[in-house]
Amino acid sequence: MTRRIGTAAPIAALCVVMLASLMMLSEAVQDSARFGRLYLVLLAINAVGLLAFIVLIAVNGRRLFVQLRRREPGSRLTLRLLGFFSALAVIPLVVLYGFSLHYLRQGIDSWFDVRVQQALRDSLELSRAALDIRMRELNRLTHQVADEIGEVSAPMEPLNLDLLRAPGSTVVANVPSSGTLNIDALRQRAGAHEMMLVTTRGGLIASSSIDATQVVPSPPSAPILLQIQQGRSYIGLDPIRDRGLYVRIAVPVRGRSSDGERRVLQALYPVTGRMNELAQNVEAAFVKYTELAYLREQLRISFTMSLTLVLLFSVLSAVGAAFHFARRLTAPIRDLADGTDQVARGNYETTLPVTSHDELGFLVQSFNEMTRRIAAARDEARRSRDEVDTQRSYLATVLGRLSSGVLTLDAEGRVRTANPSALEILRIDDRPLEGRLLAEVAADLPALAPFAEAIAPHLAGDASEWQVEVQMFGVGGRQALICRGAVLPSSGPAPGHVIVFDDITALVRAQRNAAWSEAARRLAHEIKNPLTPIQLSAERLRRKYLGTMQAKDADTLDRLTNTIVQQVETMKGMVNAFSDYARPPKMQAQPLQINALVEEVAELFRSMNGPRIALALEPGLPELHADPGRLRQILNNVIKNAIEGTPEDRTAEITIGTRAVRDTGAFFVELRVDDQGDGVPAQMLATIFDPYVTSKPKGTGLGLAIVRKIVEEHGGIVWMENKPNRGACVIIRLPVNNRAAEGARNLHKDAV
Amino acid sequence: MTLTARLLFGWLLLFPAVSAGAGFEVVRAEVVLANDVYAVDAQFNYEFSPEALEALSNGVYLTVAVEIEMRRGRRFMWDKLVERSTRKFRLQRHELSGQYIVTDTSADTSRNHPSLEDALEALGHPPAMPVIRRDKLPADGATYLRVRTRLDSDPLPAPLKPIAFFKRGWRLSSRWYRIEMPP
Repeated sequence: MTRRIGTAAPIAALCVVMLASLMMLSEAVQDSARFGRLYLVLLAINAVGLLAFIVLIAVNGRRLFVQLRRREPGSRLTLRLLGFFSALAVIPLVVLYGFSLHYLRQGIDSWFDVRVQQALRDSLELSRAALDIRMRELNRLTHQVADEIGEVSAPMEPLNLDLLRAPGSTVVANVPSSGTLNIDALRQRAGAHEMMLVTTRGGLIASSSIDATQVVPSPPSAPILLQIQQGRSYIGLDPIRDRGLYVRIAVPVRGRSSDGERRVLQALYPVTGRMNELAQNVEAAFVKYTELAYLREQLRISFTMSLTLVLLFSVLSAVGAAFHFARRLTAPIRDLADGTDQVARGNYETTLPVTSHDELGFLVQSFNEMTRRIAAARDEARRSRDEVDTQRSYLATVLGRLSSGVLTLDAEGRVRTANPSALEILRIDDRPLEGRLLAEVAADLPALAPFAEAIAPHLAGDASEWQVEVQMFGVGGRQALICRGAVLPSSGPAPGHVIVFDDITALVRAQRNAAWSEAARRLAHEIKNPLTPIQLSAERLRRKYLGTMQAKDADTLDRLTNTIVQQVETMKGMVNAFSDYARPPKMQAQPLQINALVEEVAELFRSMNGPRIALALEPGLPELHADPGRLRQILNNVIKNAIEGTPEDRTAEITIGTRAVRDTGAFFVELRVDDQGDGVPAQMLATIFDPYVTSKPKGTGLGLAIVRKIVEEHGGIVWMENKPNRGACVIIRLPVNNRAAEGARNLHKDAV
Repeated sequence: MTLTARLLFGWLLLFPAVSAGAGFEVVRAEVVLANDVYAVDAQFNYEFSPEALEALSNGVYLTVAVEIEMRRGRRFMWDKLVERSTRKFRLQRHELSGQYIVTDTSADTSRNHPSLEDALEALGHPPAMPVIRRDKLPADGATYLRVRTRLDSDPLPAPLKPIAFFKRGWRLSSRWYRIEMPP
């Protein structure tokens, strides 16, 4: 608003100044004495004002042009309004100008009439004719006076009037008495106003005037004196300011002055009374009319110039005003367009100034209300989002600190979120889970396949809650997971699932180991106590009665007591084995080349003249981080198992092989021990590594249990297969990954 | 100098007053000292343009302004104006008598001349024009006088003024005539 007043005020001031100066210019043209002197100033003011208007319009026009080129909002409307306003103002003005110019010319022309001019000219001629008669009479009279003076020969010294008029002159007028020449009497008789006798050089001989105040008389001018010298009289009409018309007559006088110059008589007669007045009036009217007629064209030009100035002023001010009003009218629309653009860019704080109380003002108010509400809604949404973010980060923090793995899946089975524990339990290091189907993840990580397969039926099922145990074998070895799932609350038709799972590998193993250890400890305790008395009693019985018996009985006693002692020894060995199972020595892991160990053990068995052992060792196997004593025990037990699995009538043929295996994304060293025995019944394959499970009549059932225990302590896996043709094969896989093996050992330790 | 005269001066700078066959000229000018007053005795030659003469014959008064300036020379600035005087003479035709009247508007005296030539002759020989009293003359620095005469458009009838402003025939002026002051 202030800006608009700021631009409008100078324009309004300029308009007022120009209007005032145009009015004064009009006055000046009317020949007013007051404004006449200011004419040029006013003209200059108007020219400067018009120039200012032109500059103003040019600047505005250029700005509008730039706005149009940039397609700024409101510019086209401004142009249309400008054209409309300009046409509305300019067309009538131009029409008015044309008619005014026409009537002006006609009006000025109508002031002048040839007949009036001729009448005035005739009047002037009439005056001249009337005066001419009078002038002729006075000429005759002056000649008479000159003749009279000529008869008087009085040489007189003439007075130099030029010296008398010079500034600083010290000449004193001292007209001597003219003696016989009484010029004053002559003047009075002739009825002249002034009469003087001068020489042709201008020297004053005598003079007389009716005006006593005239100290220095005016002699005839040089041209008159020249004319007299040529012998011609001078008769002329002399207008004298403030006195009216006079007739000036100069005639030569006979005789010469004292200095020998010719003399001249000049007389000045007033044109008397009514004739003087009328002649002057006629002359004044004629001059005025002639002047007006002469100035007619100039007047027309001046009027045209003034009118053109007025037209230019009006047109330019109208166009300037059109610019102003067009811009003012479109300003709210432009503001609205700008505001809408701002809102589109997301600036909801935009408020527009309400400059009017009309419909546009109402529109602007509505716009402001709209932006205010949008801003409020946006703030509310932002607050809600912040709250959701807070909740989410809260939940993420809680989930992040959970030791259980938590996965949320959408209705299609795609992972939505997975907490760090889930990634850790599932051994997923750097692959993003979010957005992927579990089946896809399992395709990339085969170790996860049992997990995905175990969960899939529950996701498709109807149960709102479910639980399942999953066995996996991956980089870290065997893993037992317990998974609990629930349907997520959702308003949609296909809800997602949340799956919470825990790694219970260590727990299961620890429980089992603890149970078996307790059983072994009790068994050892219960069996070992009666064995020594049995053995001692058998030995005592033999010692006491062997010598007293006959040879046949003694032989029987000897054999029986030996059997008892041997069986007791055997049972002691068994009890010690139980003790070993229950209380394993502390594991001492170190870098180990398994091939060397295998060769060493094989050589030992070969030296016992026992089985035929063939080796198929892959060279360049990676080092294992393992306890060599334990591994040796594993090999002993497995080889023994193979030997014992071979019927006694055949020589055991054992093949021990090693190789590196990469399976389910993990790196293993595999040890295979093949025999050519009868194999293991198929139903026992699943439990053959549990304690007290054996297919042999002599076995304690602990050898393979100890093998599995040691393998598990190393994070490995062991199983037995029957070969297609003959015999069985024990397969042991030990992880090369030290970390996994270490983790498995720690878990085992914790469980114990 | 009035504002009008300043504007006129500016206009003359842009468009020098040159009119073919017409022009004013300072023929002679000298300083005279009388009764302790310095005066300029000058002689001018007036040749009016046809436009001006036509206006004169149609009853328009023509006014010539004789401008006299006393200036003191300065080294690094324009010369300082010490005194200025303007004397105006009006020339008009009396239609009834056919006389040309030359009026000294300063002295308020007028003389009639039977012909234009006589009137211009009289106009070209004005009486000595006082400039400054001797005791008012500045003591320091060399002073000089300069004289020019020009057609004064101020007294012209208003409708004629714009024409006089724009038409060259109306912009009549002599060059400045410089007179050194006697020591």
